[in-house]
Amino acid sequence: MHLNRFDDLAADVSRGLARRTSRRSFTSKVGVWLFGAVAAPLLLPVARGRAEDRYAGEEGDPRSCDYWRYCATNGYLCECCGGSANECPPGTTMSALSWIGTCRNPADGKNYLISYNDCCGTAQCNRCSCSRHESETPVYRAGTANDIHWCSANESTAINCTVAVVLGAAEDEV
Amino acid sequence: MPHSISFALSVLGLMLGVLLSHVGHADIAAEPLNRNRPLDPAGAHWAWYLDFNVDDIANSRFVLFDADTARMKGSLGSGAFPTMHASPDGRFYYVAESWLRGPRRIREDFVTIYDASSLQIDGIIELPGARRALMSPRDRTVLTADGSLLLVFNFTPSTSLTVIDLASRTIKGDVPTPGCSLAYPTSSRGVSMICGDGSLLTIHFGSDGTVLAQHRSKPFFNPDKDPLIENGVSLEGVWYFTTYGGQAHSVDLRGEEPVFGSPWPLVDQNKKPANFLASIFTMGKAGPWLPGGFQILTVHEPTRRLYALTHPITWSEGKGDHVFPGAEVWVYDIDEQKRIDRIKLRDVGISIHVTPDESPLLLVGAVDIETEEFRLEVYDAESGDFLRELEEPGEVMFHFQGVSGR
Repeated sequence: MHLNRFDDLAADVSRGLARRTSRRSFTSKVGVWLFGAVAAPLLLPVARGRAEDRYAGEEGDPRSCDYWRYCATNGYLCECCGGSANECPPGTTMSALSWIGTCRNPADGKNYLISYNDCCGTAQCNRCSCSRHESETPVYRAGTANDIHWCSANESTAINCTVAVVLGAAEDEV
Repeated sequence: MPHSISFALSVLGLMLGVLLSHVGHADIAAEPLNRNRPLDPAGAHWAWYLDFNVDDIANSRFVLFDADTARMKGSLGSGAFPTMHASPDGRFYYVAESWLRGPRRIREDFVTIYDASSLQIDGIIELPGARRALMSPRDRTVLTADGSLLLVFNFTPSTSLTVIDLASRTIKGDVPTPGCSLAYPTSSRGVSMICGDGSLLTIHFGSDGTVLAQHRSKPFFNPDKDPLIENGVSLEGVWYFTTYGGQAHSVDLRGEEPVFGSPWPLVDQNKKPANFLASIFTMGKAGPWLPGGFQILTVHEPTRRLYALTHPITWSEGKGDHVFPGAEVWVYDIDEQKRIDRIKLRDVGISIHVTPDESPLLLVGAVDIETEEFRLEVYDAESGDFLRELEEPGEVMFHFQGVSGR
């Protein structure tokens, strides 16, 4: 990267926020770094202002890829597609199989097991794309891999979006 | 000026222009219809890449381009989740793909065979069921070293290989591979697969596709503590991988059973984070680095150099590092097991490929972090200089491969 690009980005907080919620999450992460390392004191109050307490005992915006439950998701967030963080949109069917992530809930500091299920049966939602890879493994550890087309087991293999369902508190720390 | 006069003058001017344009020029000869441009002989710097087309995953494509001119040379529509192999004699491309039909995406799996000289379809093999459930790792299909068998990895989530005889273009059957995934070719007619406990399952096949022998190794990495990233590269029959933590592993697949080399570090194993000021003055590049991306490694056979996409942990905050895009490409002498160069990227890289010739180019699938547009950038692999880019490459490029194989 060139220095001037770094300066431009660091100066442009509003664009950085847009980047953080971008549909292309790996670029989002670069944006997260730019602010995490340099402008975190500027950014954090803004981020708090965006928070919505949609689920009891949680904080954050479930329409944002940064939301704590999405730490190992891969796909479109059902919150943005007519469903919710833990419900598929109308007209779709939740995949029977899922992958599991372990995410830390910042509200209570505990780790939780999260089941990521694809919602199958109709077109790609193409909103709120989010791919995160914390606690995610390659496919030889399939239960925690997020690169699998889980709607394959359904008659309609179309992936609309992906939910993140809390299964319970994890026994061990990550 | 009345409109009618203005219009008359315009018409007069147009007629004069047409007349003048014909003075001293012969007419352009009528051209024949129904012509296709033949595929030029492949240049040293031609390569394929996969445009995953993330907004419409049913319609990915492989794109052939010339890195010398940054011009597209052709493309193959490849359905969803495809892989491509070139036959050793250079006559065919084998594309394993899923067709997702209609709005409900009813799925059918095929291997489509293309004539490599014309890019026309030469044959189609229908795969039973819809069992190729993985989306992106390249090594979900493998061509045996002799080019006789194509093996397709199935995940239902039971794991197995479908064995296809390419001479007869028929399916010979399935081989269950419980607990083991993906497949990497051995030097003979066989494959090794990575198992959930960190071991390898090696299977050797007869010429008719039957299983001759199977061997399960001891674990050679710890998938709980430092998982192996599945995107490896091969150099003269030896495969190289990196772990999440940046340990290079070599796996020699030339014999009956795999031989594992001692791991060596691609990155400084000192994990002490950089202090705040050092981060500021180095644009976050102080402190520990890790490998990450989609196609993280590439290898140049004539110089025995390994290239790896790397990024500072300060950027990634230590989260999901194994797929985090790279700020630089680090270059290693494989035999000396040490870094010899660092190539700074204009944008952040997600996939890299080095051409196999004596004047190699480094191809980088990248993302412009200002515009979030995907880029396909060409660098001199030796000097690290940026040379050119292919405009409008597509959405999420990875799986670069040469015209003659990997």
